[in-house]
Amino acid sequence: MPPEPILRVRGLKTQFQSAAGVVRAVDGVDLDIYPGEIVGIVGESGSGKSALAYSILRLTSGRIVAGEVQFRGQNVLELREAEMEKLRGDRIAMIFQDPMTSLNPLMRIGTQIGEALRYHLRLGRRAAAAKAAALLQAVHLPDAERRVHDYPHQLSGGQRQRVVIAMGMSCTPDLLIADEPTTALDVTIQSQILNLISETRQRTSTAVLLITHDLGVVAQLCDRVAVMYAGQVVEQGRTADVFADPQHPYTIGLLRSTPHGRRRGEPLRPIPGQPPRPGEIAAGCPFAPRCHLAEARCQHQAPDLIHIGGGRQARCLLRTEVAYEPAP
Amino acid sequence: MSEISSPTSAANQVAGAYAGRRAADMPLARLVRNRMAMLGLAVIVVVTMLALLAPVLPLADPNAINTSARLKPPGSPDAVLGTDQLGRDILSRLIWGARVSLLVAVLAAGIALSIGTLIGVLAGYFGGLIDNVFMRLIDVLLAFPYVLLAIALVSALGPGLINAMIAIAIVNISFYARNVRSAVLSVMSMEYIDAARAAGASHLRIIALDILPNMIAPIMVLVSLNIGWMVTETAGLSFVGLGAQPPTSDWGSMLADGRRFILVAPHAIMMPGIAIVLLVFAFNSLGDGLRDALDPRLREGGR
Amino acid sequence: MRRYITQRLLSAVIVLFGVSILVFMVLHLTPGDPVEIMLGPTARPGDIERLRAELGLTDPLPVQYVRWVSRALQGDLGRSIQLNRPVLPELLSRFQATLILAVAAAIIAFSLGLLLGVISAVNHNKLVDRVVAGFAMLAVSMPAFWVGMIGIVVFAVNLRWLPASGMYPPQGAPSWGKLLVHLIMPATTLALVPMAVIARFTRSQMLEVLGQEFVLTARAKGVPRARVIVDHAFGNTLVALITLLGLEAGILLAGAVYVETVFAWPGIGSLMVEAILKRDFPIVQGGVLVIATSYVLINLLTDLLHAAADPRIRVT
Repeated sequence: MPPEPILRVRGLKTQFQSAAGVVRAVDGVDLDIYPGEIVGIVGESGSGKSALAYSILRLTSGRIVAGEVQFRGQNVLELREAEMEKLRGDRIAMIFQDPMTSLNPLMRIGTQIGEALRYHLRLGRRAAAAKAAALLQAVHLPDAERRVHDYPHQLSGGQRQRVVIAMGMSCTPDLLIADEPTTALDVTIQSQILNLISETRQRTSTAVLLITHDLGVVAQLCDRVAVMYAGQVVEQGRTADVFADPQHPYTIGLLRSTPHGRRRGEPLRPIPGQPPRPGEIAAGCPFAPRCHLAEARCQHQAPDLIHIGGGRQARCLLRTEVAYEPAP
Repeated sequence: MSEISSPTSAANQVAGAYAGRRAADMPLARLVRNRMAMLGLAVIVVVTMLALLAPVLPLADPNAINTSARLKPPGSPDAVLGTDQLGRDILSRLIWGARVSLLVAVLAAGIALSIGTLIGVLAGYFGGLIDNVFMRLIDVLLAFPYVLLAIALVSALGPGLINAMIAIAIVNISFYARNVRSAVLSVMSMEYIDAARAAGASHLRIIALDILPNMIAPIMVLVSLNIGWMVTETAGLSFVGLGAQPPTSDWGSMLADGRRFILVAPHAIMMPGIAIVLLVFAFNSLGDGLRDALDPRLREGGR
Repeated sequence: MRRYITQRLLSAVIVLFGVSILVFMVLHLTPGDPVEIMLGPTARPGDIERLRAELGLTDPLPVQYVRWVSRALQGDLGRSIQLNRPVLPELLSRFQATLILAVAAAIIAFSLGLLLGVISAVNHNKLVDRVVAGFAMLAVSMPAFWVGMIGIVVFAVNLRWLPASGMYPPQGAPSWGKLLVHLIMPATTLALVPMAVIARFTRSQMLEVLGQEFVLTARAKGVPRARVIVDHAFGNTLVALITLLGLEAGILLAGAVYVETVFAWPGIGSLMVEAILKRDFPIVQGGVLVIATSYVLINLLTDLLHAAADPRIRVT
């Protein structure tokens, strides 16, 4: 019997009101995350991957208009704000892109790590400080005992991101959402942080939802991957499968446009055109205007996400559904 | 959901990804949509027209003394806004006074702007020693709370409207110099300046063709934000007796005149005061609107 | 930190040097003979010569400047022509009254300004926010001398709640209670503009801080919204607000000139206005010097305070 997913997102829609009209940032996303796995979400900026992450924790400044976010069987969209606060940082934690700005410049890092401990585990000041030092040791911050008294500006970018990870892991959450955790870092530091995330997952069996635009990161770290385009998941499956045999033309384009995905000797080929602007998403497949395989029907018929076997899904009219895959 | 993450968060991330300028986002359209700014502009236009047309408007002689009609309340048949302690028509004096107040404010702003911009451009463009010397001088000017410096200068030059104007102009040089300098510095970091240099363009050419055109927007914002202060400052100096001297009178000296009679005729201070508030409010809201439309980064800077 | 302090002290000294030259030059910028202007057209030639010699105006300028500065450093700012008393004690007693007024106004301005700013920011773009913004805009557009007079008409003349002028009633012994009653109107009037400035600054600063990632991080940690505002946003806003102290002091000292004139408050501002009208140059010169010096010191203090409050500056 397959294990129950800890996070089950169904039909999630998040919208923003902008000067240009309603922006459907997340437009009907289904997503499952099982205990202890690392799931990557990739897409260009503006594809809605960050909005999805913020929506799961109900920290988006947009409006969640439809759908469910079930965390261990409980729809978090129905929780009162106070109950939501108990969940945040305790069972679901989130870390952000830029370690330069995601720490309060006026607060010692020990205090910042201690905050979640004090709110969720009801630790006293001293106990929280001791635990903070231990957490910093666990993320391999040298001289952790003394570092808890430092202010963020006294640390390097990589060290800060270690602090941020320690902060996210402080209550050993069931799910850690990491929004572009390495984008703002130097390349050499990037792989250290990725290793740290992977190591942390193994130690604590915390599941990780990793938001990134970098296919290399996905290849290195993720068990499964979901590709987002224009607010929708256009393809998902096991990372190895998706990389070896991409089913959606957009995924194919993404792989060809990065050194990680292309075949040896093949030149990098960027995807032509731009993602659709808000309000410009007409009927039909949102990717059709950029798609080299598009047919006439793609212009007016919106594709569904269909199961194509092997736990894989793709949202493309040119794929045919595999009948024996049980519906979720 | 929570407003707490509002200004820079996901909405912008998403909208930013679709960045594309539409007509509705252009500065002029943004300004026109700002109702407060448009209201301010309307008030400024009306007051300016009244001031310009004062000689041809059917107004009583602002200086005609009529001791039998002293301190008449507003709504009197031949004096809509009442009369002052010498029986002079307040409406007429307000409109004639607007000429003085506006002219002084505009001239003072013009002087401060020209000198301040010159200093700011030179300091920002050449940097180094020139920048250091100018900025130290500006620091000295800034060491005085601004009215105090105006007072010191008026005490040297002697009380009077022209001297008050000069003093106010000098006081505000630092405001323009500092803001223009920082605007120049931000333009200087653009690549096309390096390109112009590499192409061998002269300093004068770069300043005239690349720097100054970029100063127009910030300067418009600075002037509109500053002119309201100029109006208040002039009125203030006149109010304490250091500005307009009889028989010239502006709104500030009208307030000073009315002050001695506030027990019996409060309207004599109400009318000029409301005029000042209205005009200054108009300039400030236009300035705010311009700033938001043209250069949001200037927010809350300067004074 | 030590280098920063030294640097700031040094630049304060340079600025004060410039201030002293400017103040000194004020007397010499005057068109015509200052002594004749001071004594007026009825003065006898003997008196003019005597005052000129007494003021040392016959010496070369640098000599005069050095003498003037060295005397000023010893607390000798000359004698007032009108009052025929030494300038410094007169200035200091008047300055005390100004300080009382300015501090009272600062307390009002900061407490109300902060409150309004935070309320505005937390209710961003809602009705409360717009009302506060409109009020702040109105407050900076109203000249203090006019507001003061309206206050006198309403609260002193019509309602008879508050005294119209002065620091104490003309008769009877001074007391704290009487001072407080006399302070209410002038201090509130003086507080209006700085309060509006603080409210607007606090609002924009709070909004900026609330939009930063560390606030989101705190929310993601499960810190309740109200605690995020208090522990994370407000602290950062306060530190930024310190930079405003100097500007506020300037607004207060400048506004005091008008407020003191309207309420006949015996402060340094009204003294200087009288002195200019009566051509009492030593008072004007001394007054400008005292106010400018204290303003430079306040700005210096502001910078040091900011450095002490912000760890990013403190350590380096």
